[in-house]
Amino acid sequence: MAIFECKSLTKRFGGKTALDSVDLVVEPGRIVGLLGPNGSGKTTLIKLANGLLTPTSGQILIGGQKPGPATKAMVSYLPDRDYLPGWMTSAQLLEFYGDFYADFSSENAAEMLSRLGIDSTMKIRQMSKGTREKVQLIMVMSRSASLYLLDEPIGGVDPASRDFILNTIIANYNPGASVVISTHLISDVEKVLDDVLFINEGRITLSKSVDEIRQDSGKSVDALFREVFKC
Amino acid sequence: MLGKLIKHEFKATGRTMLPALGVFAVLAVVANVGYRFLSVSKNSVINAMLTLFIVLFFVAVAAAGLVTVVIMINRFYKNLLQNEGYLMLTLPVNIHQLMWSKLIVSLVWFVATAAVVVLIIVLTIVNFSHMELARLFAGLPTFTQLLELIRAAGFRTFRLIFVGLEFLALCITAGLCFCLHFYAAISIGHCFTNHKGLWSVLSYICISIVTSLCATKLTSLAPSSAEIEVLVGLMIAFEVVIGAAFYLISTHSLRRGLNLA
Repeated sequence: MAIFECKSLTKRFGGKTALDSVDLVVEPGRIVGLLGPNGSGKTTLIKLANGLLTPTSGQILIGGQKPGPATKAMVSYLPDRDYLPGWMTSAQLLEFYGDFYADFSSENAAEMLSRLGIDSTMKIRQMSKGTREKVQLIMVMSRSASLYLLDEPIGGVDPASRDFILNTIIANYNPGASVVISTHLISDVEKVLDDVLFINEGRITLSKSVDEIRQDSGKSVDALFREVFKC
Repeated sequence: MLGKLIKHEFKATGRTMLPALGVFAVLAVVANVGYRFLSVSKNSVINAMLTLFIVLFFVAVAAAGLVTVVIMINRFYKNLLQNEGYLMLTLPVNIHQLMWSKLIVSLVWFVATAAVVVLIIVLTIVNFSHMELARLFAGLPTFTQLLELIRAAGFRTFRLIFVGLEFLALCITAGLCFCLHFYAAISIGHCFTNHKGLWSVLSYICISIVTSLCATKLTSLAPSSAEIEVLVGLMIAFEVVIGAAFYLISTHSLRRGLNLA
């Protein structure tokens, strides 16, 4: 069974259509790049999958179920912003995640935090932007989820941090799970992707494996993206 | 999961509420002690300080209430409708558990604040000299006299307990309604794309007008000869109905109309 599925999914905000009849299927065990320019509908799709928005029409299913408490227990979500309470220390965060997610490994998270030299008594608001983003990713990747939805995980961080983030994703994701990475920074993520979804103006314009793209077009995903989305 | 939400809600609010209540209690005690020591003086400077202490006491009482309300509003707004909403609304819990965790914890802080205020007032009374205390209570009936008065008015023990429980229920429903009024207004405001704060304030005002009109209508319908149990019962029923309406508005807005920035 598909871990993530959309059937004629449409989302409108007033008169503006953010997603237009999207059909997609993500099978277990795949790392999928959700690639599109800014404002193409990537974040809207991920918010819908997390139950932060409700569809105007169509269906969105996680493990065959509509978004709700049961699917939230299966999904590990990294939003595209600072979302952790600034007053919490990383030690308090471990307790918080441990309390709510049965699949959260405090040991893994604590080990990754200590490897980065993050003081467990330091508050989130005292950390630099880069450190905060790493802490957020560590929390998300320390879960044994069925589906990881990562919204712009490498946006706004330096190239060294991008490597850390991608290595953390690859080293920690549950191999039977799927990972959806939304980004417009293709060249950095291309090496870790199995499949690619191109999204533009709320529509899925391409759905292929990275190998198929290379065979069919003879181009890298990054080169194809630049060609397709040329301004 | 509700228990875990309540635990973390206490942690989040306690870091402000406990020091705030502590500071308030210290301020009130300082004001009291200052008053007791300085009230015997005829010096004008000391008398000015005395006035300052009294003002300080009332400011502390007002600040304690204000801080409790501001924290209640801020927790709902920041924790569910701002960036922290991405964490809270994606936890494997339902919206009712989130709402009740906030309501229960807010109610506990209201009770704690009220308890500290009562404690400080009792301390103030104790701080008066015996003469003043006697003068203060001279016009008031003693507890035994008060009980006799209540019994004379037709209140038997059972009835007294019942009315007491009714007042307790009224306090709880009124406290919940007070919170839900803010939650509903903020939730409605956040269904708009722009000027969410302004829409929240306007929603609050509109809801206040509608509930006041309903309360006035209900008061006019109540028979003037009704027993106190009936009147308090009607008030509880009114609070439950409008509270349920606020609750439905809030949960519906959070589930269907929300679009976190």
